[in-house]
Amino acid sequence: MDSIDIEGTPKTPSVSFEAATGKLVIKGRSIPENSIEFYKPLVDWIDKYAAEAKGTVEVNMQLEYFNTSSSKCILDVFKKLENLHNKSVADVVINWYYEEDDEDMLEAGEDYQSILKLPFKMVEVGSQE
Amino acid sequence: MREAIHSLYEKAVKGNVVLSFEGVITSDLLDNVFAEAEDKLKADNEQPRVIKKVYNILVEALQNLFHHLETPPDEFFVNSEFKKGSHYAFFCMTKENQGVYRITTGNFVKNLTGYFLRDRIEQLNYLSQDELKDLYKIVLNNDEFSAKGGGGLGFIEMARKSGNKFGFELLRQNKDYSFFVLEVLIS
Repeated sequence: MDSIDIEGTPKTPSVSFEAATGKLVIKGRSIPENSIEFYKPLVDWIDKYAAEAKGTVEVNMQLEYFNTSSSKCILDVFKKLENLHNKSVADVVINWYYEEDDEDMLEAGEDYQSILKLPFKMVEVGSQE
Repeated sequence: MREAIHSLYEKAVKGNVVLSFEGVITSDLLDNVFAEAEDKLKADNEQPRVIKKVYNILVEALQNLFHHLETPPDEFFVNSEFKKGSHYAFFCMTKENQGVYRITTGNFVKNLTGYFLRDRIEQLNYLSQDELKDLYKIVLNNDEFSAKGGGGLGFIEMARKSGNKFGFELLRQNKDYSFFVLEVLIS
């Protein structure tokens, strides 16, 4: 199965989904006007990946900003992963990164955590400033 | 009509103006505005926490405009510098005392949409932070997605992040259209 490797832009995050290692990274900004267009291929990829996923799937969410249009799409990505996890296809773990002073981003991660039956790890990182 | 709307813009653009715009809203314009806003906030030595909050709310407010504005009625374009049918709106961001930022947007809406917006905002203004958080999660987790991709979360998110009540004006222009002015204070 092919991996996904998308470079970031000022409005969309960089994405690296590696089928071989089970490492999924979404990093940067996600503020497109139409986020469905951007996220649909990612959701479809996870659907296909379900057939061959095994062991541990590590998801690193390293977002700086995201708009509310993206927030629903991110939930869709997580729900696909939740399926994987709950059918015991693979052990999924979400690492949710936030900068030390960014309470809003921490809270956003906790919102997802409370909606989903998936293990979340909140990872504080030093501010870039 | 054009003059009356312009005077609403003039009213919003007062004090310490960080950025302001009146005219035709395009995706490219918004990209430039977001970059400019971030540069200015950084140049002003704001804390990263403040920059993120203000930037986030600005993105929601202006993308709301982009998705939901109505083309003004024909009478607006009489003696106006804008081409008939263009996507007119205005916005501005100012810095008030005690580090409070104010974002104001103005756009045409259908009268019915205006009533809906008024009800929605009054409802959100009534909710506590905890209630806004619960509402956000409910709306996030329902499967509805509007045709324009908004999903109905923008206003809830702005209310949550700003920590203040919305200010707004809904001004009826004719039998079909109203002009909607939204004010978000971020502290």
